[in-house]
Amino acid sequence: MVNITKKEAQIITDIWKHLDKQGTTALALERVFTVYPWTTRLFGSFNKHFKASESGVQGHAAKVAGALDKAVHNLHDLDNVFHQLSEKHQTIGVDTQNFKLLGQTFIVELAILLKGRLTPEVHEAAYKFFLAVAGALSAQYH
Amino acid sequence: MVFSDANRQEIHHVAELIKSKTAVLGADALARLFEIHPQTKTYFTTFTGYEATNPQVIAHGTKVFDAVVKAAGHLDDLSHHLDKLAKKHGTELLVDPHNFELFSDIIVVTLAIHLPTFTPATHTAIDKFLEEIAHQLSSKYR
Repeated sequence: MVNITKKEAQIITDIWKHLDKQGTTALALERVFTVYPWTTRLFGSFNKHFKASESGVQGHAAKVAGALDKAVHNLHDLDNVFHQLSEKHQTIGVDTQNFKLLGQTFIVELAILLKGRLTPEVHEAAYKFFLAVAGALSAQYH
Repeated sequence: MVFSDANRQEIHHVAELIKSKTAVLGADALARLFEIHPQTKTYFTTFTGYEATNPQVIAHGTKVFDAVVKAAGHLDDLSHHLDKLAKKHGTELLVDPHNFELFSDIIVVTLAIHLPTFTPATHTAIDKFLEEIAHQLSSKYR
């Protein structure tokens, strides 16, 4: 169980507020598809078009950014926020490890964007956020 | 692990960029590891502190990053090159190998912060490189 402190919640909310949510998510997706190519397994419909600017990635980024937005505003109710999405991802057949991989590439995008402003404290808050989201997305798998 | 020509170029380029900054980068990466994964501090109980400004953190971080830079010059014989370090970790230090993966992800984020660019292609090459180092360091435990 990931325990996000009040201070971390504030950090997460602040970062998210000022972020180009769609843009950063699309870049994180391009990065996860490139660095961990097995994450493309269920995206055959993208026809090997995995760049951030391409329509498949943009479309998926919009969905992911929307869900992350809901998560940021409901940090202490993530299991509920992701209940149906968790069931959906299992039905689709997504390996839950993928959620952690996307968390890592999202943090790398934040690192490129924020540079030194991604202090160890902010890095930790982001890490815990994505760990909690990955956990909630995995929670309904059986 | 097979490194493509493109991978090699990326790895050598990064090694060149960081070889004069191993103290700063090493301390930053290690401090992040201690902050985000506090269980890693259990291997360093003699340290007086775990922040990037602590002399012991700087010394150890420098050692690690100097070793990574050196390993970049041995992409074709990493197993032989890392043999001594593998034996040390596997029989003397007994660091849980899972920690090498945790540290690799943190090193990637640290590089993304400090390097002028960190494209998905660079990220992929570095991730492969660190994965192979972790694999070699884990190879003499049992």
